Amino acid sequence: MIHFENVIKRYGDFEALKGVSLEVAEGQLVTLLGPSGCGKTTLLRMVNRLIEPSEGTVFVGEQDVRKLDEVELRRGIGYVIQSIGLFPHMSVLENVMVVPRLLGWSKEKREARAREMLGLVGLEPQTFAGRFPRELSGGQAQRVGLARALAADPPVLLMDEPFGAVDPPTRERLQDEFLKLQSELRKTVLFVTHDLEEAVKISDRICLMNVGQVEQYDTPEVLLRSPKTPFVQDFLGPSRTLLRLSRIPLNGLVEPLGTHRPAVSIKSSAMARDAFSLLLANGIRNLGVTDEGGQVVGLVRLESLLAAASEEDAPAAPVRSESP
Amino acid sequence: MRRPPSVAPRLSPNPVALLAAGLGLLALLLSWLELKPSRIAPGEAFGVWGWQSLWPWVLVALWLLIALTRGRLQGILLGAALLVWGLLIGQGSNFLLNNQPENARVSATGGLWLALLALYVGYFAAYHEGRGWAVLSAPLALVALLLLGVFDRLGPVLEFAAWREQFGTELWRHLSLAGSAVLLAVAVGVPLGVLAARGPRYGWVLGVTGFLQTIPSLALFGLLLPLLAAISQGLRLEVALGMIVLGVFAFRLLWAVSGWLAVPLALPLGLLALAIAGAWLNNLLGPDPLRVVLDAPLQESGVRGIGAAPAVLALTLYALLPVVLNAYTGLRGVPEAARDAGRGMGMSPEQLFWRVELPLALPLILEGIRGAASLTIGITTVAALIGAGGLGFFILRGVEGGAPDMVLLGAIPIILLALLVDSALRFASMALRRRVGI
Repeated sequence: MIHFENVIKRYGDFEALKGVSLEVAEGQLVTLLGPSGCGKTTLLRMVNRLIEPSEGTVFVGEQDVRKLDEVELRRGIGYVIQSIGLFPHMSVLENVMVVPRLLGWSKEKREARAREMLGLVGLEPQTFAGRFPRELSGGQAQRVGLARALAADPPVLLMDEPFGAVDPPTRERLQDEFLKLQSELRKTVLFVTHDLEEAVKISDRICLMNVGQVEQYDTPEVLLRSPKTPFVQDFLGPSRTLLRLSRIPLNGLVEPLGTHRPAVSIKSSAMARDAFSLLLANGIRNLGVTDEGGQVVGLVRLESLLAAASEEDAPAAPVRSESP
Repeated sequence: MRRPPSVAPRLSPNPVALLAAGLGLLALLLSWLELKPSRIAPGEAFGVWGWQSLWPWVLVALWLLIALTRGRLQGILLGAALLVWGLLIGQGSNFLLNNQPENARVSATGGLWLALLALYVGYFAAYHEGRGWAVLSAPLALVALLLLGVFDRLGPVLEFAAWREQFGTELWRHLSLAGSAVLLAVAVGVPLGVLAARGPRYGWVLGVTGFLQTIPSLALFGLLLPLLAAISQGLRLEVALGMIVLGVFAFRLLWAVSGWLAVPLALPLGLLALAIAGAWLNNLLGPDPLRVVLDAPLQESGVRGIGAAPAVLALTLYALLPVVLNAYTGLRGVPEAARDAGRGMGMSPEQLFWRVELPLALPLILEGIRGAASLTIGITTVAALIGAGGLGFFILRGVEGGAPDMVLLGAIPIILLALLVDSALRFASMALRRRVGI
């Protein structure tokens, strides 16, 4: 859906991007991950032509973006930025209606759509439609930003550190909700972040960048299991084992319940990492696993978690939503 | 349960109210009125305590209460003090003019003005305490005083009675001169501010408008007078208009090539256009009829070396700086995120300007217009010097004739006008700010 072909960007003598080629398949969520100044935002902004490449080509859906009218191109791409960029002089509803209005939708249609979008991102339209951005919390503003980007139902979504400016609990909730939304909407999403955990949590594939180059482009599981370069190894750091646990669903590790009755238990829908944290926190070796109804149905042992984390080439987790 | 503080306000008076009360009490020690045998003869000053009146004591009591109270009550007390101030003036002038010849006049002196200043300061405190409602007592008290006619025997009011018709005309002229200048300054200044905000390449815009502000007004008139006089006699209107229209096209062509070629062309033609537009706009708004004679020199159409044309032109140039500066600041202050989001969502540069940048800059632009308006109403006074009329006429005549009451007849309305326009525009820009949320 999005395709970068040997893209180079120079600012004077400085090369911000040194020949990046990347393919983002339709319906995938790809994060551009890397330290500040690695060129991830520059790469993102080339998709909607806020920045033009010095060399190379960017394709969106087989089309060379340079051959498209930039204004038309941008109206067809959802855009969310870190500082949100809600228009302070417009109400929440007006903000969400911006692109439909640019596209010339009728008043009724765009208003109905905007209300629908607010509901979709978890903001009660009755309550929030008339509010102004200054009356919103950081998390609410971010939701409005997302609703605004989705309003015209664009197939492609560009998100530049959208959850960077909110507090950690809110960020996690926003990530969860966004993941749920994405599993229904199946947009092609290019997502910039410098937060490794965030990238591991939400991505179908991660493109890890450094000084204008792609270091590794893989699924989170492969990236965490087998870092290709010393930089990747370094960037992932010692916590990569823990992070791998956060991609492993607990169901695969559950053993039948013996005579032993563990004192602490966890939902079977949780990730292996949550179970590991709980074990550490309680200083125990076994954890009960409950089903949806809260009934203890099995147990998970510390040893099996350790084994799952250290299996270098084990097909540990089913690779999530990898396109065929 | 937290109890509402009941005693605390009395113990911690508002410091501004304290200052006001101090000034008000001090004023009572000074002379308030001056008795003169005629309107230009020197007079003798009198304080309030010799008028066999109770009002000074009431005023003392009111000031003490104002100093000690807080909250809405302060506004009511200030209204009462304003009322007493006026009644005291009425009583004093009656007392002093009793058994005096017909030519005798009373005028205001320091104590009276200081008391007024004290009331003004007091209203600041009251506004802080009780917001808008607290200030409402001021116009109510003033209207009551005017209806009671307490000022009727004061010098400036007698001057007004004598000059009533001329006063109306000059007031109208004053407003039309200042109004045309502000309108033109907005029409020229906002686009210039937008240009200046485009980037450091256009820094000269701010430089030029700032420089204009530093020229003394009399010097500017002195420069404009011979120049406009020569043009107005030598240049026919149709030729001038033709030059301006051609100039616009030439400017467009040159601008495409290089800004540095276009600006020297734009400046003189722009000034010529401003002079003609200023004279016409003033005639359109003001008491003097508008005349357009195409095939005669410019002076037949009201553009002369003296009079409205140079006055409006000079005032426009002065009013330019606050307008340009605020438009520039307002546009530079538009959050980069809003701009980025707008562009990223597919707004064309025009859409971005009209839908995002301009609305966000509007409160500041309005602030600039407010500054320009109150500034212009003040300096329009000097327009009388070059025969353009306005309230400066009375000031000029008063100074020439040694009649201070006549100076006041010009000065007081100018101050009131400036305050009125300032507060009206301040109100508008505050309402807009609340809407925009800045």
